[in-house]
Amino acid sequence: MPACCSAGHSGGSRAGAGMHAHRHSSGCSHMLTMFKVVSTSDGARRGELATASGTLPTPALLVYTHRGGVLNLTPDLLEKLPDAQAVQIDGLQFVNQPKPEVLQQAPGGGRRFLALDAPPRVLVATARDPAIYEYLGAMRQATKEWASVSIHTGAATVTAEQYVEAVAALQPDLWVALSDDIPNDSRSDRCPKSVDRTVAWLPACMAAAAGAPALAGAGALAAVQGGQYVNERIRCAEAAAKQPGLAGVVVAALGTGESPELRATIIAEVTARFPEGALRMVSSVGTPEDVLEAVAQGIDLFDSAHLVNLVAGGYALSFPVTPEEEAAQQAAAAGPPPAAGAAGETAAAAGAAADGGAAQEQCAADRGEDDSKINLWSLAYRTDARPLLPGCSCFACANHTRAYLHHLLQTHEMTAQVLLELHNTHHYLRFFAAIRDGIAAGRFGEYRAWFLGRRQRWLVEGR
Amino acid sequence: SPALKFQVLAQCGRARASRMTLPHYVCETPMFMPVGTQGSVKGLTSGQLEDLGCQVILGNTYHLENRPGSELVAEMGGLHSFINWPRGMLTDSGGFQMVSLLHLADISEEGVTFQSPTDGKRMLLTPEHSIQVQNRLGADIIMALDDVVPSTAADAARFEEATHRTTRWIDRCIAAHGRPHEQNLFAIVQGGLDERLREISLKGLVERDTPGYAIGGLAGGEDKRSFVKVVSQCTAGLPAGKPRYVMGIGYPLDIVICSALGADMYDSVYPTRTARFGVALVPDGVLKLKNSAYARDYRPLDEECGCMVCRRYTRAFLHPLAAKGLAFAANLITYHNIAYMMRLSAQIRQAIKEGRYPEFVRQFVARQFPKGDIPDWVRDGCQLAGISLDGLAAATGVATAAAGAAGGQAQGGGAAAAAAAAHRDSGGVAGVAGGSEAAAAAVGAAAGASSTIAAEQQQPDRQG
Ligand SMILES: [Zn+2]
Ligand SMILES: [Zn+2]
Repeated sequence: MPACCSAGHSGGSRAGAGMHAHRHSSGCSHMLTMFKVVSTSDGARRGELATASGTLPTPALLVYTHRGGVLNLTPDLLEKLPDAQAVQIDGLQFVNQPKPEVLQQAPGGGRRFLALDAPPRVLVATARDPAIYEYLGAMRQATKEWASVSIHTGAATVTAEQYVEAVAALQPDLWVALSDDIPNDSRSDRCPKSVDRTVAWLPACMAAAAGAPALAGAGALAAVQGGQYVNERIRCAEAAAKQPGLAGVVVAALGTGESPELRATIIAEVTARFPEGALRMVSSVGTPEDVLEAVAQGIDLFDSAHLVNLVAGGYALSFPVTPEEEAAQQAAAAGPPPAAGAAGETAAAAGAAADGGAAQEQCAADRGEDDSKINLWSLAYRTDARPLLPGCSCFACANHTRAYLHHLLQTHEMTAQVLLELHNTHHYLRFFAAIRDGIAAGRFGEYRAWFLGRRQRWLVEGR
Repeated sequence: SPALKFQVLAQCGRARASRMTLPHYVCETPMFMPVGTQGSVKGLTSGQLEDLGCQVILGNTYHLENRPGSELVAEMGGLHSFINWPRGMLTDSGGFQMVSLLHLADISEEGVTFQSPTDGKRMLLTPEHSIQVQNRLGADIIMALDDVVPSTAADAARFEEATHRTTRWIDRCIAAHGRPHEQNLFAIVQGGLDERLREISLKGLVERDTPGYAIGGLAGGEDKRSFVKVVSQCTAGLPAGKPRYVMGIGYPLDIVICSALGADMYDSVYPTRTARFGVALVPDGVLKLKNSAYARDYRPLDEECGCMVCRRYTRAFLHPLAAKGLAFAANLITYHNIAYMMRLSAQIRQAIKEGRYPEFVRQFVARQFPKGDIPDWVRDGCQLAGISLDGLAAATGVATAAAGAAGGQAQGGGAAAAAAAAHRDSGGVAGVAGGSEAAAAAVGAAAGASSTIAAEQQQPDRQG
């Protein structure tokens, strides 16, 4: 019996989870319909994912976690991001240390154990850490019975049953089935094996999940592998689409070196194999432009791999989220910024220090910005008393300056990563809100054109 | 003094609870001051430090002058503004870091000559220069440059010289101080472990009538019986109406004993540094979270705490992350450890105000040493403070064991009981050694191998 007709509800101990998942009785062929498309615009879709942890508007950004922590954000800081409604968590990180039973037996269950229980957040368990691509999976020999993965305790083999047990311990709202995750450039003989295994593990995962009460109300997503071989991607998608009881699909192992054209083809071919009402997620697709392209192809869920890289590199996002903000930024740039004189002097001094032709290059690097972000390592920010992004209302911008962030990076103080993660997450959540607004207003194409045009102008004019 | 008001609110034996009004904050003492070496307290935001009730935080002049430089800080409106910390700040003279970090430091009457770690150039730190830098940083309390001799050094002549030189240097510091209406210069009592030299130092410095006094040259690995003797002598010799700051003190037990002797202020990297080695401070001692006994221990770090970390997380959650040295775990334990130090300070103040500080000390010591193996220096300290520990061992040992067993049962079985046992053991270790920072460092080094994200964020410890 398809899960959509029998799905119960985990409910249980989740504090504040008053919302029940929609179960559309009509049109229930195969898919679990906790997701509905509210409106569409230029290929993009504005949707709603109804879960026991609340209703998540899509396209949505899932906040990254590493071993249960929101990377650098302690719960009190996470509360400063009220729009962080959804969290991604790698189920493989809970196969060992801690083992699933540690979470299961914890008072209040896995969610409370991870302090992700309150306020309620939509929790999406994936079979991969989107920020750390481990090629070991491709190098090692998986078998039909188990996946070969690299986790914090080292190399490990994981069966579908073991994986689902770990996932169930997390009490997720959505979970991604185990797959043989391989990068784009895997060899032509490796890809079909990956697809064979991925196809075999999906029903195994679903069977295991059927026996896990914690997953009764959770939606399952099939992962589609196949590397760069479109025919293998199609073969995997077609097999997965036959699986009853799915909530949607993940176009997996992207962001591993594929060209934008190939990525678009893969996304198009895979999503076409699933019903319109299926939830669509991509893994490790992250820059603003990449997000807009994927949204234009009807993708609903994104992970935060890009933000993790930005924080690690000392970057703060600075792009305007709307045309109105762009106008405001330009107006501010026309006037004299607070510490521009001092910052200019510093850059000039650094430029003078380098000799000859290198000076100009040095100057450009010292400016430490491009069309979407600034690099706080840059000497240009040594005495810059402005917030990371003027006008930003996040905790970091409300309280701290670029100069302080530059100093924290220079002195290797961890507080730098804390503040950058706060700002970047806040900013990207606003970007996703603007995308949703654009779709809802029927003007997504216009929004995307503005954004991409802005980038072109930046590349041409340097502004 | 124009920039500092000190009012003793309550006296209990030699211990006192006071209100100290600084340009940026009205503090209650005794208090612990977390160290924000380079302008942040490891991994925490200044907003979190406010949430935690921190009153004064320290900045290290030597580090801040290296990066970003005091002139830049002054340009950015001073240290308070640069790091956005609205409450009290204290900067040290920079001398201690030079002597402790740089073996090449050479001390003459003029100042401390050292080799710059960045470009290898020989540089001279004079009392005047230290005060100028601290004037630019703008902390509420600034420290005189003193002639630091490690308390374990054996050279009597060197101690004699350093004692007199420190007194000569305070005059140069006072003369160089450009902002006496906004910043308070504290003199530092020196004299090693020698009673006569300490007396000379006290006399010379008290005559200079600075807004407050620090007791320096301790916390350097000297024997603890000498340590309490020196603290006792100095607090007795310092003016009653001025704050007394014991430098470099961060072990909870030391703070309890020093407060009994009439000290008011403490600072140390211990609570934050030990957190990065996975060690949490609790009333019974410490929890070494790397210990597998905590793998299934669903209790908070400290059942009496109630801080954000203790409300949201368990020992079982923190154990595997601390074992790997993850930055996230370090931040959480740091948060709790600061909360613990703030709570301890508040409890000390409360007990003094309510006139029951001796009883507080007895209970505190009993919990740290449930077997009754109270070290001699603790007995000495209590005796000097007029606090009797008679009959402590037998009675409290039983009570603590019973409480531990009850806790084990309530929290579900063997794992919790094992954890309680492990935790008592480690508490014992910390107490006997007076806190074993060296041991903690060794544990940290042994666990140096850490995973991906943690690895790139772990930094070598550069705090003095
Ligand atoms: Zn911001
Ligand atoms: Zn706590």
